[in-house]
Amino acid sequence: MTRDVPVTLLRAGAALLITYGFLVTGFLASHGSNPQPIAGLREWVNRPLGLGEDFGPLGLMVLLLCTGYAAGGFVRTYLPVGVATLLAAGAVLIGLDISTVPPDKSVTLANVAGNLTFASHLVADKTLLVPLAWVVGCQLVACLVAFDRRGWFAPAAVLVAVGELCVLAANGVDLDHLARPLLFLPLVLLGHVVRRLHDRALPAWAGLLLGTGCLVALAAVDRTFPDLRKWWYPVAATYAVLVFLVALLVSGRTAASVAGRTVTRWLADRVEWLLVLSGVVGFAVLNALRLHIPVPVGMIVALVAVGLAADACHRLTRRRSGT
Amino acid sequence: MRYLHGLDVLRVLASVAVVYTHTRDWFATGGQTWRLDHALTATVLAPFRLDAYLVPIAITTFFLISGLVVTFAAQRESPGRFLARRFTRVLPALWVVLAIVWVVARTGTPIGVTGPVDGATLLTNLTLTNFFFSGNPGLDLVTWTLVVQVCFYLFVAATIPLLRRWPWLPAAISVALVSVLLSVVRTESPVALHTLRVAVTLLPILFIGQLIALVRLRRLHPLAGLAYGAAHWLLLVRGDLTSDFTPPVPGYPQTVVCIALLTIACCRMSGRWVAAGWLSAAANRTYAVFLVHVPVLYVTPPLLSTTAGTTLAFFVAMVGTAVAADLLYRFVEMPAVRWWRTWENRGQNTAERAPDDLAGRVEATR
Repeated sequence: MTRDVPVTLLRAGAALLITYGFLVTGFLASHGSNPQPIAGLREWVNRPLGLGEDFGPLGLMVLLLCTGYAAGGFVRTYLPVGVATLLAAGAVLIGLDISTVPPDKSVTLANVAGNLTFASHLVADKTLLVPLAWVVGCQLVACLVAFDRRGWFAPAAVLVAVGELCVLAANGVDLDHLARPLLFLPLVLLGHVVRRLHDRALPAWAGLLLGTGCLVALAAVDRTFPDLRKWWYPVAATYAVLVFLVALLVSGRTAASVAGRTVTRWLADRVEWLLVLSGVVGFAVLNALRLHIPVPVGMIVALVAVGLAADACHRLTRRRSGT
Repeated sequence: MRYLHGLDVLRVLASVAVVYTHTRDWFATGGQTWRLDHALTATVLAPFRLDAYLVPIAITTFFLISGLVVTFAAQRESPGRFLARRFTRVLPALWVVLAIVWVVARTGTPIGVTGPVDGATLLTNLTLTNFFFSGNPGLDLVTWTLVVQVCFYLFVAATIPLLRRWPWLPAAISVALVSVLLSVVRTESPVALHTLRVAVTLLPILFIGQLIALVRLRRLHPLAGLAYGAAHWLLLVRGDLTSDFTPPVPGYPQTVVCIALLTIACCRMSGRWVAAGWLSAAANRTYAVFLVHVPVLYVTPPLLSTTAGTTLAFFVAMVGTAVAADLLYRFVEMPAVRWWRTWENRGQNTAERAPDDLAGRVEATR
C-alpha cells in the first residue's frame, strides 16, 4: 500500500468538504438562505458533531494535514493564489460580484500586489480579493518546513513563533486578522511531524513532544482570540487529526480502489484550485445567475464552472511547471 | 486474531476519565474543588470542549470496546457458552461489591445510597432490576451501564448463527430494531421505560463497536461497515434529539465519532510500551475499578481530617480504589472465570477443551 493512497483519499474528501462549505452553503448563508436538505444536514450532522461553517474548516484542516505530510513544490503551491488573485482583480474591474473581504471591493495596484504577496493577509483591514488565500500561505509554510533536514527544528521554531504571537495578542496587540491562520498552522506542522515519524526520521519521543506542542498551540490560539471560540475549531481539528491517522494506518484494498478512481484523483489533484476559485468563479456565476434562474440550477452551473476553471488552471500550470 | 494491546490503552484512559469525573462531581457536590481540576479544565478540557464530555467519553469507550471484543468472542462460541462466559465475568464481581455496599449502608455509613436499605433493595440490585422499579435505590450507581451491556449480550447471543453465516444481517436487524424501539419507547415514565429508553439510545454505540470488529475480521466490507456505522450514529442522534432526558449529558454523538476513530487507530498500535505488563494489568482491572470507585470515594475521604485538603483526599481515594479493585480482580473476578472454564472443560480431553484464550483476556471487557 503506497502512502499516496490515504493522501489522495483525504485530499479528495477535503475538496468535497471545502466546495460544499465555502461555495454551496457559503453562498446561501451570505444571502440568508437556509433551505432543506442543508438545514436538515446541519440539524442532524453538523450540530451533533459540533462542526460549524458546514464542514468547510474541517476540509481545510484535513487538507493542511495532508500538505504537512506530503508538501509539494514552492512554485506549484503558490500558483493557485497568484492566478486566483489576478482573476479576482479582473473580475472586480469588469464589475462581477465575487466573494471578497470586505464585500465592498476596491482594486488598486497596491491592493493586488498586497494580495499576491500575502501582505494584505498579514496587515489588518486590507481588502482580501481571495479570502481563503491564507490557507495556501499555510501550505507554503509546510514547503519551508520540509526543507529542514533535522525534522524537529523548523516545526519547533514555527510553534515558538505561534506562541509569541499569542502572547502579543494576549497583551493587547491587534492580531485578530491572523487568528485563523495561526490556529490552522499547527495542523501543517502536525502533518509534517507524522511524516517524519513515518519515515523514522524523528525519534518517537520527539514526535510525541512536537505533536503535543501542535495541539497545545492550537488550544492556545483558540483561547487567545475570543472571536474564534464560537466556532469550536479544536473540535474540528480533533476530527481532522483522527481521520488523518486512521487513513494513514488502516488504508487497505478498498481505500486503494477508491483512491484509484478517476473522480477521486481529479478532486485530489485540484483541491487547491477549487479552494481559491470557489469565491471567484463560483460566486461570480451564482451572483450573475441569481435573479434569472432558480438557485439550485445556478448552483449546479456554478459548480460546473468552478470545476472547469480548476481543471483548466491545473492542466495549464502543470504543464508550465513541468510536473 | 492477535491480542489488541492498543485497546488496553483506551480502556485505562476511559477508566481514568470516569474516576476523575466522579471524583470531580463528588467534590463539587460538597462545594469543593481542587487545583488539579482547575488547571486541567483551563488548559485541555475547556478548549477541546471536553469539560462536560468526560462521562460520555468514558462510557462510549467502554461500550465501543465491549462491542468490538464481544464480537470477536461471538465468532467462536455457541450462544449458550457466549452468555455463560459473559455473565461469569460480570456478575460475581458485581454481586460481591453490591453485597459489601449493602452491608456498609446497613450500618448507617454514608456510601451514596439514598433510600431504604432492605432485602428487596439488595435483591433488585443484584438482578439489576432496581432500574426498572421505582423505590429501589441503587447501591452502586454506575451499574446502569450493565443494563445496556446485558441487552447487547442477549442480542448477540440470539444472532450468533446469523453473525457467522451472514454477518451483514445482524447489523441490518440491529439498525431496524433500534429504529423501531426509538419510535415505540417515547415516554420516559415510569422508570422502566426510562431505563429501556436509555438502553435503546446507547445500544448503537455497542453496535458500532461490533461493526468495527466485523470489518477488522474481514467479515464485512469496509464501505458496508461505514454505511451501517453511519446509520447507527444517526440513530444515536435521533435518540438524543427526540428525548429531553436521555442521554442525560450532551456530547455522545461527538464522542462516539472521536472514540470510534481512535479505537480503529488503536487496533493498529503495537510496540513495547503498548504491550507493557503494567498496562495490561491495569486494563484487566478496569471493570473492578469501575465497580468500586464510587463506594470507595464515599467512604475514604471522610476518614481524613477536614484540614487535610482536597488533593490529599483525592490521592487517598485513588489509592483506596486501586487496592479495592486489585483485591476484587484477584479474589473474585479471575477465580470465577477460571472456575467456569474448568467447569466447561470437565470430562474432556486436552484436545477438546475450550481455548483458554489467555485466561479470557480477549473478552476481558466483558
